[in-house]
Amino acid sequence: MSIEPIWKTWFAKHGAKLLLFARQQARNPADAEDLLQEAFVRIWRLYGHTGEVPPALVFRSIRRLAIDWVRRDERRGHREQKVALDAATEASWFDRSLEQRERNALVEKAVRRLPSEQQEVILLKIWGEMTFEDIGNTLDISLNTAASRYRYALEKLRVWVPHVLTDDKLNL
Amino acid sequence: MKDLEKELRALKPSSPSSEFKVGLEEALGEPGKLAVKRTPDIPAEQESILSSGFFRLSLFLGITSTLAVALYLANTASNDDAPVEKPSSFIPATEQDSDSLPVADQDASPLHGISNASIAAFAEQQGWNLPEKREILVGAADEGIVDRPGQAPARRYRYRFLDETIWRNPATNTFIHSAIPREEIVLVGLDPY
Repeated sequence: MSIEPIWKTWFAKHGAKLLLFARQQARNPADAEDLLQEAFVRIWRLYGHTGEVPPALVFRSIRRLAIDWVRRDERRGHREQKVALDAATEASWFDRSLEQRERNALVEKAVRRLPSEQQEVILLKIWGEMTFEDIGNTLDISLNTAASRYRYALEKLRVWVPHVLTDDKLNL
Repeated sequence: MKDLEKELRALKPSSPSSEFKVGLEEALGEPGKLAVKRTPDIPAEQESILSSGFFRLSLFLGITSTLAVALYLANTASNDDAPVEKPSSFIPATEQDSDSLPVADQDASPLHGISNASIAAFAEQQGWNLPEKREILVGAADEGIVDRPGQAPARRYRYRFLDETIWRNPATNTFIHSAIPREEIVLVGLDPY
Protein backbone atom coordinates (compact mmCIF):
# COMPACT_ATOMS: atom_id res chain seq x y z
CA MET A 1 0.00 0.00 0.00
CA SER A 2 1.47 3.33 -1.02
CA ILE A 3 0.40 6.88 -0.30
CA GLU A 4 -0.10 9.26 -3.21
CA PRO A 5 -1.05 12.93 -3.02
CA ILE A 6 -4.53 13.48 -4.45
CA TRP A 7 -3.35 16.39 -6.56
CA LYS A 8 -1.45 13.99 -8.81
CA THR A 9 -4.59 12.08 -9.71
CA TRP A 10 -6.46 15.33 -10.09
CA PHE A 11 -3.78 16.80 -12.32
CA ALA A 12 -3.53 13.67 -14.46
CA LYS A 13 -7.22 14.10 -15.21
CA HIS A 14 -7.36 17.85 -15.77
CA GLY A 15 -3.76 18.91 -16.50
CA ALA A 16 -3.89 18.67 -20.29
CA LYS A 17 -6.97 20.82 -20.70
CA LEU A 18 -5.67 23.36 -18.21
CA LEU A 19 -2.39 23.58 -20.09
CA LEU A 20 -4.28 24.02 -23.34
CA PHE A 21 -6.18 26.94 -21.87
CA ALA A 22 -2.98 28.38 -20.40
CA ARG A 23 -1.35 28.19 -23.83
CA GLN A 24 -4.26 30.05 -25.32
CA GLN A 25 -4.10 32.71 -22.65
CA ALA A 26 -0.31 33.05 -22.51
CA ARG A 27 1.98 34.69 -24.98
CA ASN A 28 4.37 31.77 -25.32
CA PRO A 29 4.68 28.13 -24.23
CA ALA A 30 7.10 28.89 -21.41
CA ASP A 31 4.70 31.46 -20.02
CA ALA A 32 1.88 28.96 -20.35
CA GLU A 33 3.56 26.47 -18.05
CA ASP A 34 4.43 29.18 -15.53
CA LEU A 35 0.87 30.42 -15.72
CA LEU A 36 -0.56 26.98 -15.13
CA GLN A 37 1.85 26.26 -12.30
CA GLU A 38 1.15 29.49 -10.46
CA ALA A 39 -2.61 29.22 -10.91
CA PHE A 40 -2.72 25.61 -9.84
CA VAL A 41 -0.49 26.12 -6.80
CA ARG A 42 -2.57 29.10 -5.66
CA ILE A 43 -5.84 27.24 -5.93
CA TRP A 44 -4.54 23.97 -4.52
CA ARG A 45 -3.07 25.70 -1.48
CA LEU A 46 -6.46 27.23 -0.80
CA TYR A 47 -8.73 24.29 -1.51
CA GLY A 48 -6.48 21.29 -2.07
CA HIS A 49 -6.96 19.87 1.40
CA THR A 50 -10.56 19.08 0.45
CA GLY A 51 -9.30 16.86 -2.37
CA GLU A 52 -12.06 18.14 -4.63
CA VAL A 53 -11.15 21.27 -6.54
CA PRO A 54 -13.42 22.28 -9.42
CA PRO A 55 -11.29 22.79 -12.55
CA ALA A 56 -13.28 25.97 -13.22
CA LEU A 57 -11.44 27.61 -10.32
CA VAL A 58 -8.09 26.92 -11.94
CA PHE A 59 -9.33 28.05 -15.36
CA ARG A 60 -10.47 31.29 -13.78
CA SER A 61 -7.19 31.73 -11.96
CA ILE A 62 -5.22 31.13 -15.17
CA ARG A 63 -7.19 33.80 -16.96
CA ARG A 64 -6.82 36.40 -14.24
CA LEU A 65 -3.11 35.74 -13.92
CA ALA A 66 -2.72 35.99 -17.68
CA ILE A 67 -4.39 39.40 -17.63
CA ASP A 68 -2.08 40.52 -14.82
CA TRP A 69 0.96 39.25 -16.65
CA VAL A 70 -0.03 41.00 -19.88
CA ARG A 71 -0.34 44.25 -17.94
CA ARG A 72 3.01 43.62 -16.29
CA ASP A 73 4.64 42.93 -19.65
CA GLU A 74 3.10 46.06 -21.10
CA ARG A 75 4.67 48.04 -18.29
CA ARG A 76 7.98 46.47 -19.22
CA GLY A 77 7.62 47.70 -22.75
CA HIS A 78 6.81 44.52 -24.68
CA ARG A 79 10.24 43.10 -23.99
CA GLU A 80 10.92 39.93 -25.92
CA GLN A 81 7.35 39.95 -27.09
CA LYS A 82 8.15 39.20 -30.69
CA VAL A 83 10.30 36.20 -29.82
CA ALA A 84 7.58 34.96 -27.53
CA LEU A 85 4.89 35.26 -30.16
CA ASP A 86 7.04 33.43 -32.70
CA ALA A 87 7.59 30.62 -30.20
CA ALA A 88 3.91 30.45 -29.41
CA THR A 89 3.03 29.83 -33.02
CA GLU A 90 5.42 26.87 -33.22
CA ALA A 91 4.25 24.78 -30.27
CA SER A 92 1.39 22.44 -31.01
CA TRP A 93 -1.62 22.57 -28.72
CA PHE A 94 -2.74 19.05 -29.45
CA ASP A 95 -1.35 15.57 -29.82
CA ARG A 96 -1.22 14.70 -33.47
CA SER A 97 -1.96 11.14 -34.40
CA LEU A 98 0.10 9.76 -37.24
CA GLU A 99 -2.84 8.84 -39.43
CA GLN A 100 -4.50 12.23 -39.11
CA ARG A 101 -1.53 14.49 -38.69
CA GLU A 102 -2.42 16.82 -41.55
CA ARG A 103 -6.07 16.95 -40.68
CA ASN A 104 -5.33 17.67 -37.02
CA ALA A 105 -2.90 20.39 -38.00
CA LEU A 106 -5.54 21.95 -40.20
CA VAL A 107 -8.13 21.91 -37.42
CA GLU A 108 -5.67 23.32 -34.92
CA LYS A 109 -4.68 26.07 -37.31
CA ALA A 110 -8.33 26.98 -37.75
CA VAL A 111 -8.91 27.06 -33.98
CA ARG A 112 -5.89 29.29 -33.51
CA ARG A 113 -7.12 31.58 -36.26
CA LEU A 114 -10.26 32.40 -34.29
CA PRO A 115 -10.48 35.71 -32.45
CA SER A 116 -9.18 35.32 -28.90
CA GLU A 117 -12.57 35.78 -27.25
CA GLN A 118 -14.10 33.03 -29.39
CA GLN A 119 -11.04 30.84 -29.04
CA GLU A 120 -11.22 30.78 -25.26
CA VAL A 121 -14.91 29.90 -25.29
CA ILE A 122 -14.30 27.05 -27.73
CA LEU A 123 -11.45 25.70 -25.61
CA LEU A 124 -13.45 25.80 -22.40
CA LYS A 125 -16.53 24.28 -24.01
CA ILE A 126 -14.96 21.55 -26.12
CA TRP A 127 -11.91 20.50 -24.15
CA GLY A 128 -12.70 22.03 -20.78
CA GLU A 129 -16.15 20.34 -20.91
CA MET A 130 -17.70 23.28 -19.12
CA THR A 131 -21.25 24.57 -19.28
CA PHE A 132 -21.94 27.99 -20.75
CA GLU A 133 -22.79 29.18 -17.26
CA ASP A 134 -19.38 28.09 -15.95
CA ILE A 135 -17.67 29.57 -18.99
CA GLY A 136 -19.47 32.84 -18.35
CA ASN A 137 -18.29 32.85 -14.75
CA THR A 138 -14.74 32.01 -15.75
CA LEU A 139 -14.51 34.69 -18.43
CA ASP A 140 -16.66 37.28 -16.65
CA ILE A 141 -19.23 37.33 -19.44
CA SER A 142 -22.89 36.40 -19.53
CA LEU A 143 -24.13 32.93 -20.36
CA ASN A 144 -25.71 34.24 -23.56
CA THR A 145 -22.51 35.93 -24.65
CA ALA A 146 -20.58 32.71 -24.08
CA ALA A 147 -23.13 30.74 -26.09
CA SER A 148 -23.16 33.20 -28.97
CA ARG A 149 -19.36 33.36 -29.12
CA TYR A 150 -19.33 29.59 -29.25
CA ARG A 151 -21.84 29.56 -32.07
CA TYR A 152 -19.93 32.17 -34.08
CA ALA A 153 -16.71 30.26 -33.56
CA LEU A 154 -18.23 27.02 -34.80
CA GLU A 155 -19.65 28.75 -37.85
CA LYS A 156 -16.20 30.08 -38.72
CA LEU A 157 -14.57 26.74 -38.14
CA ARG A 158 -17.13 25.06 -40.35
CA VAL A 159 -16.12 27.35 -43.20
CA TRP A 160 -12.40 27.10 -42.55
CA VAL A 161 -12.22 23.37 -41.96
CA PRO A 162 -13.48 21.49 -45.01
CA HIS A 163 -15.51 18.39 -44.42
CA VAL A 164 -13.71 15.07 -44.50
CA LEU A 165 -15.18 12.76 -47.05
CA THR A 166 -16.08 9.53 -45.42
CA ASP A 167 -15.61 6.22 -47.18
CA ASP A 168 -19.32 6.06 -47.93
CA LYS A 169 -19.28 9.44 -49.59
CA LEU A 170 -16.21 8.58 -51.58
CA ASN A 171 -17.90 5.48 -52.93
CA LEU A 172 -20.90 7.41 -54.20
CA MET B 1 -22.21 21.31 -36.43
CA LYS B 2 -22.32 18.08 -34.44
CA ASP B 3 -19.74 16.49 -36.72
CA LEU B 4 -17.47 19.47 -36.29
CA GLU B 5 -17.82 19.39 -32.52
CA LYS B 6 -17.12 15.67 -32.58
CA GLU B 7 -14.00 16.21 -34.66
CA LEU B 8 -12.81 18.94 -32.33
CA ARG B 9 -13.36 16.72 -29.29
CA ALA B 10 -11.33 13.99 -30.96
CA LEU B 11 -8.29 16.24 -30.74
CA LYS B 12 -6.45 15.53 -27.51
CA PRO B 13 -4.68 18.45 -25.81
CA SER B 14 -0.98 17.87 -25.27
CA SER B 15 -0.25 16.67 -21.75
CA PRO B 16 2.11 18.58 -19.47
CA SER B 17 5.64 17.20 -19.53
CA SER B 18 7.01 15.10 -16.70
CA GLU B 19 9.55 17.87 -15.97
CA PHE B 20 6.66 20.24 -15.51
CA LYS B 21 4.99 17.88 -13.05
CA VAL B 22 8.20 17.59 -11.06
CA GLY B 23 8.41 21.37 -10.92
CA LEU B 24 4.79 21.54 -9.91
CA GLU B 25 5.36 19.13 -7.04
CA GLU B 26 8.24 21.25 -5.80
CA ALA B 27 6.20 24.41 -6.10
CA LEU B 28 3.30 22.89 -4.19
CA GLY B 29 5.48 21.85 -1.28
CA GLU B 30 3.75 20.68 1.87
CA PRO B 31 0.20 21.69 0.87
CA GLY B 32 0.46 19.14 -1.91
CA LYS B 33 0.80 16.39 0.64
CA LEU B 34 -2.21 17.35 2.72
CA ALA B 35 -4.72 15.34 0.81
CA VAL B 36 -3.49 11.87 0.05
CA LYS B 37 -4.97 8.57 -0.99
CA ARG B 38 -3.84 5.02 -0.54
CA THR B 39 -3.14 3.08 -3.67
CA PRO B 40 -2.61 -0.66 -3.69
CA ASP B 41 0.77 -1.83 -4.95
CA ILE B 42 0.63 -3.49 -8.33
CA PRO B 43 0.94 -7.23 -7.78
CA ALA B 44 3.62 -8.89 -9.89
CA GLU B 45 2.66 -12.40 -8.87
CA GLN B 46 0.46 -14.16 -6.41
CA GLU B 47 2.97 -14.06 -3.57
CA SER B 48 3.33 -10.33 -3.87
CA ILE B 49 -0.43 -9.99 -3.85
CA LEU B 50 -0.60 -11.76 -0.56
CA SER B 51 2.33 -10.07 1.03
CA SER B 52 1.29 -6.60 -0.12
CA GLY B 53 -1.94 -6.80 1.79
CA PHE B 54 -4.09 -7.11 -1.26
CA PHE B 55 -7.01 -7.94 0.96
CA ARG B 56 -6.40 -5.11 3.31
CA LEU B 57 -7.59 -3.66 6.51
CA SER B 58 -10.46 -1.79 4.91
CA LEU B 59 -12.59 -4.93 4.89
CA PHE B 60 -13.93 -5.88 8.23
CA LEU B 61 -15.81 -8.65 9.89
CA GLY B 62 -19.16 -7.73 8.35
CA ILE B 63 -17.89 -9.02 5.02
CA THR B 64 -17.57 -12.49 6.42
CA SER B 65 -21.24 -13.19 6.42
CA THR B 66 -21.82 -11.63 2.99
CA LEU B 67 -18.96 -13.52 1.43
CA ALA B 68 -20.00 -16.77 2.97
CA VAL B 69 -23.61 -16.48 1.82
CA ALA B 70 -22.63 -15.46 -1.71
CA LEU B 71 -20.11 -18.25 -2.06
CA TYR B 72 -22.61 -20.71 -0.71
CA LEU B 73 -25.21 -19.62 -3.29
CA ALA B 74 -22.68 -19.63 -6.11
CA ASN B 75 -21.44 -23.05 -5.18
CA THR B 76 -24.88 -24.61 -5.05
CA ALA B 77 -25.96 -22.89 -8.28
CA SER B 78 -22.97 -24.09 -10.28
CA ASN B 79 -22.96 -27.66 -9.05
CA ASP B 80 -26.22 -29.13 -7.82
CA ASP B 81 -24.62 -32.52 -7.21
CA ALA B 82 -21.91 -31.21 -5.03
CA PRO B 83 -22.37 -31.65 -1.33
CA VAL B 84 -23.73 -28.57 0.33
CA GLU B 85 -21.11 -26.84 2.34
CA LYS B 86 -21.83 -24.71 5.29
CA PRO B 87 -20.29 -21.24 5.28
CA SER B 88 -18.26 -22.09 8.31
CA SER B 89 -16.55 -24.91 6.42
CA PHE B 90 -15.03 -22.49 3.89
CA ILE B 91 -12.15 -21.63 6.13
CA PRO B 92 -10.09 -24.33 7.76
CA ALA B 93 -10.42 -24.23 11.49
CA THR B 94 -6.69 -23.97 11.94
CA GLU B 95 -6.68 -20.73 9.96
CA GLN B 96 -9.23 -19.19 12.24
CA ASP B 97 -6.78 -19.10 15.07
CA SER B 98 -5.78 -15.48 14.80
CA ASP B 99 -3.45 -15.68 17.77
CA SER B 100 -1.03 -17.77 15.74
CA LEU B 101 -0.66 -15.06 13.09
CA PRO B 102 1.71 -12.13 13.32
CA VAL B 103 -0.04 -8.90 14.24
CA ALA B 104 0.84 -7.34 10.88
CA ASP B 105 -0.84 -10.20 9.03
CA GLN B 106 -3.94 -9.90 11.14
CA ASP B 107 -4.14 -6.21 10.36
CA ALA B 108 -3.82 -6.75 6.65
CA SER B 109 -6.50 -9.40 6.48
CA PRO B 110 -10.01 -8.22 5.73
CA LEU B 111 -11.53 -11.05 7.70
CA HIS B 112 -10.71 -11.08 11.34
CA GLY B 113 -8.62 -14.06 12.33
CA ILE B 114 -8.28 -15.42 8.79
CA SER B 115 -5.04 -15.07 6.93
CA ASN B 116 -4.78 -13.48 3.51
CA ALA B 117 -3.26 -16.64 2.13
CA SER B 118 -6.31 -18.66 3.10
CA ILE B 119 -8.71 -16.18 1.56
CA ALA B 120 -6.75 -15.89 -1.66
CA ALA B 121 -6.36 -19.65 -2.02
CA PHE B 122 -10.02 -20.22 -1.41
CA ALA B 123 -11.13 -17.45 -3.78
CA GLU B 124 -8.90 -18.82 -6.52
CA GLN B 125 -10.27 -22.33 -6.13
CA GLN B 126 -13.83 -21.11 -6.39
CA GLY B 127 -13.20 -19.06 -9.55
CA TRP B 128 -13.41 -15.59 -8.03
CA ASN B 129 -11.46 -12.83 -9.71
CA LEU B 130 -9.11 -10.65 -7.75
CA PRO B 131 -11.13 -7.93 -6.05
CA GLU B 132 -11.58 -4.54 -7.70
CA LYS B 133 -10.86 -1.84 -5.19
CA ARG B 134 -11.33 1.86 -5.21
CA GLU B 135 -11.21 4.62 -2.68
CA ILE B 136 -13.85 7.34 -2.82
CA LEU B 137 -13.27 10.61 -1.06
CA VAL B 138 -16.60 11.46 0.53
CA GLY B 139 -15.63 14.67 2.20
CA ALA B 140 -12.99 16.63 4.01
CA ALA B 141 -13.15 19.14 6.81
CA ASP B 142 -10.73 21.63 8.27
CA GLU B 143 -11.25 21.27 12.01
CA GLY B 144 -9.08 24.18 12.95
CA ILE B 145 -6.05 24.46 15.17
CA VAL B 146 -5.53 21.93 17.93
CA ASP B 147 -3.05 21.93 20.81
CA ARG B 148 -0.60 19.08 21.18
CA PRO B 149 1.00 18.55 24.57
CA GLY B 150 4.70 19.23 24.37
CA GLN B 151 4.58 20.11 20.69
CA ALA B 152 3.72 23.01 18.45
CA PRO B 153 0.01 23.40 17.67
CA ALA B 154 -1.29 21.80 14.52
CA ARG B 155 -4.11 22.22 12.07
CA ARG B 156 -6.35 19.20 11.95
CA TYR B 157 -7.97 17.94 8.74
CA ARG B 158 -10.46 15.12 8.74
CA TYR B 159 -10.99 13.10 5.55
CA ARG B 160 -13.85 10.70 5.09
CA PHE B 161 -13.42 7.89 2.60
CA LEU B 162 -15.48 5.03 1.35
CA ASP B 163 -13.42 1.95 0.56
CA GLU B 164 -15.25 0.03 -2.10
CA THR B 165 -14.44 -3.55 -3.02
CA ILE B 166 -16.14 -5.75 -5.60
CA TRP B 167 -15.48 -9.43 -6.03
CA ARG B 168 -16.69 -11.04 -9.24
CA ASN B 169 -17.18 -14.64 -10.16
CA PRO B 170 -17.59 -14.81 -13.95
CA ALA B 171 -18.48 -18.50 -13.90
CA THR B 172 -21.58 -17.95 -11.82
CA ASN B 173 -22.17 -14.33 -12.80
CA THR B 174 -22.08 -13.37 -9.15
CA PHE B 175 -20.58 -10.40 -7.43
CA ILE B 176 -20.15 -9.15 -3.90
CA HIS B 177 -20.03 -5.47 -3.22
CA SER B 178 -18.60 -4.00 -0.07
CA ALA B 179 -18.48 -0.32 0.92
CA ILE B 180 -16.78 0.57 4.16
CA PRO B 181 -16.56 4.06 5.60
CA ARG B 182 -13.18 5.19 6.88
CA GLU B 183 -11.82 8.38 8.39
CA GLU B 184 -8.32 9.76 8.32
CA ILE B 185 -7.10 12.61 10.43
CA VAL B 186 -4.11 14.60 9.27
CA LEU B 187 -2.29 16.94 11.62
CA VAL B 188 -0.18 19.61 9.99
CA GLY B 189 2.28 21.14 12.40
CA LEU B 190 2.23 24.92 12.56
CA ASP B 191 5.18 27.19 12.92
CA PRO B 192 4.40 29.33 15.95
CA TYR B 193 6.59 32.16 14.69
